[in-house]
Amino acid sequence: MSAWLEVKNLDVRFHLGEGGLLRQSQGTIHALSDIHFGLEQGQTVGLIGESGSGKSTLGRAILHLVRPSAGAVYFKGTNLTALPEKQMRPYRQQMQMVFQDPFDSMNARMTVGQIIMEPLLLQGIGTPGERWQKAEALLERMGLDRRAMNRYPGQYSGGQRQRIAIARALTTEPQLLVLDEPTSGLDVSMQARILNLLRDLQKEMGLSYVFISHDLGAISYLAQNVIVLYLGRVVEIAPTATLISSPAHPYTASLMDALPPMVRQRERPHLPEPVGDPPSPVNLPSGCAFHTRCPQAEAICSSDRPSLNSVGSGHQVACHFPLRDVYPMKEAVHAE
Amino acid sequence: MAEKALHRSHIPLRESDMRSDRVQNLQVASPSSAGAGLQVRDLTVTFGRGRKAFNVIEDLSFEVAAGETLGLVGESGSGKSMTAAALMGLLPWGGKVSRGSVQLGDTDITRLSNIALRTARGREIGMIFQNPLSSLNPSLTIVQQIAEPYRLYLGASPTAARKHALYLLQEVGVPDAAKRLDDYPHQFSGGMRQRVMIAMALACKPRLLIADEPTTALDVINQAQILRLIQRLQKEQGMAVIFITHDLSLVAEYAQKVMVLYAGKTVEQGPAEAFFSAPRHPYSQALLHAIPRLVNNEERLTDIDGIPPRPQEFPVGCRFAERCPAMTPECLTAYPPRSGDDHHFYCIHPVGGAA
Repeated sequence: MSAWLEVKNLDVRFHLGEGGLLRQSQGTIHALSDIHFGLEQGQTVGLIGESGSGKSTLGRAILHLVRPSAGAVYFKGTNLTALPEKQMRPYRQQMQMVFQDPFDSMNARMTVGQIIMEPLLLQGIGTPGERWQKAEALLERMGLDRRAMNRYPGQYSGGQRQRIAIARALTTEPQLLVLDEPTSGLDVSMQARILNLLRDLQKEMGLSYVFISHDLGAISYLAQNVIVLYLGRVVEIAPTATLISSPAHPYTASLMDALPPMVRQRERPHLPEPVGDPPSPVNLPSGCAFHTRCPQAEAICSSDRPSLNSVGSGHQVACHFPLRDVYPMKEAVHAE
Repeated sequence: MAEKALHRSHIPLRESDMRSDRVQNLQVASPSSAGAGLQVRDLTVTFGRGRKAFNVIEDLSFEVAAGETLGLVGESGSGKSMTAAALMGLLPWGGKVSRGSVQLGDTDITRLSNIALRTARGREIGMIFQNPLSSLNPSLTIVQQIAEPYRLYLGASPTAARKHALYLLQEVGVPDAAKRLDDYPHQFSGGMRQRVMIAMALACKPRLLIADEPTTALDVINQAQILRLIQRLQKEQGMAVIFITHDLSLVAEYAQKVMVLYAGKTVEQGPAEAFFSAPRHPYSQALLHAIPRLVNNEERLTDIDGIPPRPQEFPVGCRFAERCPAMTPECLTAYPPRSGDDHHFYCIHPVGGAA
């Protein structure tokens, strides 16, 4: 039984400096290696990691905006990776993306109406009148005024633009939305509005989300399962509640420790802070990629790469020394 | 002096001007006042003239003692960055401080001549901006940029300045600092650039550091590292810090005082502990409940519909009324009076019962 959306052993590599004047490859970036997960219809999977972890690339690779170098993406049983672009188009209707920056992802010279109707136009759906009505209805659903149809995106704030972007993504009635940090440039009040809207839309329309963020708070609000990426590899996959109550990978723990106490609602950090910045993806460290920053790395961590092992129901971690939950959360007591 | 300074304000300054000015400035800010922080009284910034004049911030009063952090909180458009610009004397063209005073130590910044202000900016006030890449000069090396204020305001020799820059880079935790001195800003990652910005802001050991959304562009691990770094340096140097952000969860961790701004006015202000244990203004409450947390995430987040009014259209009554769940007709007639003392707010229907 395969999942509704299934990503199998996905690899994405970028070649540096190839095809340039000197035609010399300067190296290969392993943007993603061996990514494997599934997503059920109507559910949300959260992708979390620092900048450079490959989370945006994974979002794009699922939609084949970036062609995978190896592996495959199965959407409702169809291998999308094997399809040529022309046969891919009908599937594109069913999968849409919302980009991070609502300022750069819209043509400033198109009206909001044109922006929202464009996907319908490109897919050849409906008459002009039907397209207009659909766009108006979506705008209203997003909590924006119909009059916006004839205005320009420049007249709107970041939060309003992001709602216009969501309306644009929903015009073709997709079943899967890839949300690439849709709230990271917004104020908390606007972020809350977008997160609530996404939650409501999911219930109403049965949408499935791939939600990309570096904010575990936002992810935990929407996602049932979370995938933690570090330098292009999955270091931990777990149901959201499990991940939060007992993170097993030191990197996940450090992501949580970095949150302000009000958000993480936990008295003590799991581990000392990680040191420095993530290493360059061109020359990945040997063994576990996190060993250069890990507060509890030992000799084996720099020589052998840990494989992804199950440590509980739906909970997998790639670490030689996974954490045990030493300091249970305050709230865990209530839950029982 | 003031007239002369205004007259020359657009002419690039020579180092000799700086030096004479530095002496004057050192006299004003004598060592006896060392340790005194920032006192702002009734600060009002006005744009335009005559009937077209409008205020973007109105009657802000706050104090930040040396070694203390004030969290300045609000949405975009609430006047946070304008407040910072007014404190720095860096208001955009057409804007002026029309009322109030900004007392840093013994000096009223609003009364300084342009030249004296320029020196004060480098020496007494440091600032960290949101986007470190656009605030660093891409065509100068890091060492040139960090050492510049030290050379200009303290008259250090190039060798001494380089040494100082190295010391600062090590202080802010840039690995291999000695090797990286001659690198350009684009060769640094986002978190490292923000560290370089901090080194620059701290080059002359300012009394006041203004951090304007210093971590909005960074991810969580970098955010925590940068904020802890600022906290450590603040303790060591006894600076007053104004931390501008839209995220109350960060204020709760790093600030001792909170001031919530809405549409250019203070809506609530007080010691962090009192504020977070019982926020009184509906806007503060909404900002707090908009933050997604790791527990109880089934609970719906509070979202506030709409956006703050534009400065030209500030209403007579409570400026938040239009978006407020507790709004009644009385809210629209006059700006609510101040209630409370140390922890005070401006609302006639406060959260948790009457004032």
